[in-house]
Amino acid sequence: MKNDFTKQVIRMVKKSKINIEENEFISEALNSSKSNNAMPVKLNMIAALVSDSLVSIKQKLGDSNE
Amino acid sequence: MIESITNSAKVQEGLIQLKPSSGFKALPSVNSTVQVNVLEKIGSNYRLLINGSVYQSNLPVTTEKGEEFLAKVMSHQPLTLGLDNFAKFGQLDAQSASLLLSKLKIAETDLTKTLLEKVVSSKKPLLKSKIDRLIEYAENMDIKIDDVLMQLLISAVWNLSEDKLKETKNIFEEVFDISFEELSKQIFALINKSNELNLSQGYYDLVNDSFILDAENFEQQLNISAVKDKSERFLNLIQFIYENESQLNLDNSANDVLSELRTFSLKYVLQKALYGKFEIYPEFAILKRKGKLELVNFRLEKNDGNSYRVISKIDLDKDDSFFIQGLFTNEKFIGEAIVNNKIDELVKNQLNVLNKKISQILKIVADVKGKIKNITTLVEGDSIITHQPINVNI
Repeated sequence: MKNDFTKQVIRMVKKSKINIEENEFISEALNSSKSNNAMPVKLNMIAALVSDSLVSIKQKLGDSNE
Repeated sequence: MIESITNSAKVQEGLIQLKPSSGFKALPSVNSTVQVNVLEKIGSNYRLLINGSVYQSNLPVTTEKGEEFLAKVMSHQPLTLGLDNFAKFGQLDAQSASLLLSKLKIAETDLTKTLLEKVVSSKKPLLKSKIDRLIEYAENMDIKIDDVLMQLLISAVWNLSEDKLKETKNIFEEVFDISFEELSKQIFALINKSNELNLSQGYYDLVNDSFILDAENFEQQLNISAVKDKSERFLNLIQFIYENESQLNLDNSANDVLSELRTFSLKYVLQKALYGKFEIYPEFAILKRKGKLELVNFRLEKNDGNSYRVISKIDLDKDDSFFIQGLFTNEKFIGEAIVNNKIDELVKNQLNVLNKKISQILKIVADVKGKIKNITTLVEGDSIITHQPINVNI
C-alpha cells in the first residue's frame, strides 16, 4: 500500500528524465523514507550548530586572509 | 545476542561459541584468523569445519551449506570466534587486508582491498559469497562509487536476497549516477543561480523557509528544517515549479535552471529514501551568513546505544576542507575540528563559541577541540582513540 508521499514521488519520476521502473523495492523505501530519516531533535540542532560554526570559521578565515 | 549451544551464557554480538562435534585436532591459536566452512544446517545450528575439525554452533547470519567465512579466534574455553572484529578501531591496515583477501582466495586489486576495508569497518561478517557478490556488483556498476554509496552497496548485498539485489541494480545506477555530495553542490549552485532570476516571491519564500538556515538570526530562531531530511520540502518545491511554470514567464536560461533544480530535487528525494532504508544518513545544509550562502555537508551515523556520530565538512576552497566530527549522546557532544596545519586562535575561539552555544541551547556538555590533520575514531564516552590518518570522505 503506497502512502501519499510515495504516490507523489512516483508521479514526479514519471514526468522526469529519471528512468526507473516502479517496483516493490523503491515503493517500500519511499513509504518508510520519512520514518527512516527521522532524527532526534537535539541531534538536528547539533548539526545546525556545528554547520553554523563551520561557516563562521570559513568566513573568518577568509576575512583574515584578505 | 548469540547464545552458545554449549552453555546458555550470552556472549557479545558478533561472537560465536562452538562445541566440537567429532574428534578434533589442536585448537587454532588465539588471535589467529581461521577459515570456516559451513558443512550443513541442523535446525537453527550449523556444522562447521575449522582447521580439519568439525564444530557445531548457531550463527548470527543465515547462510547455506558450502559457505565460507573468516573468523578470529578470541578464546579457547569455550572456543569463541569473532566474526566482525578484524581491525583495531574499525580500520583495516593494508597488510591485514592482503592477508584476509588471500585467505578468502580473492585476487588483490585496489577495488577488492577498498571493498574489504569497508566491509570490515561496517562490521559485517566476512562471508566469501557476499564479498564475491559485492565485488561483482561494484565492478559491473556503471557509476562512480564513493564512500557513502559503498556503505549502501555493502548493506544491500548483506541484507537483500539475490532477486531483490538484481531488482536494485538499475535503480541504483539511475539514482546514484551523481554522488550525494555532488548532488548537494549542484542543488546549492542552482539555488544560488535562481536568486539571480526574477522569479515570484512565492518561490523565494518557499526556498528560504525550506532550505536556508539564517545563521545571522540564529539566536532568535533555529530553523532546523534546513538541516534535517528535506524530502517533503523538495517535493513541494518540484510541485511548485510545475504548477507555476507558465505564470513564471521564464526565459530559456531560467527554464533550464528550474528544470535542473526539479531533477536534482527528485534525485535527493530518491537518494534519501534509499540511503535511509539502510540506515545511512548523508545530509547537507545551506546557511546564510553575512548575506552569503554557504554549503555544509554532513553525515549522521547511528553508533552503539543511543549515540550518533556527526561528521561535518565545509569546503574552504577547491582543494581544502575543514571538518568537525563528534559523538552525540543525550548528555554530551564530544568532538574535534580537524585542521590541516595549525590550530590558531581564530579556530580555538570559534570552537569555544560552539561549545558555549551547544551547552546553552541544548543544556548538554560540549567539548569540541582542535586537532591537527590525523583523524580519530570516537568511541562512546569521553575517550578519543587516535590511529593512523584515514580518509573522511563524506
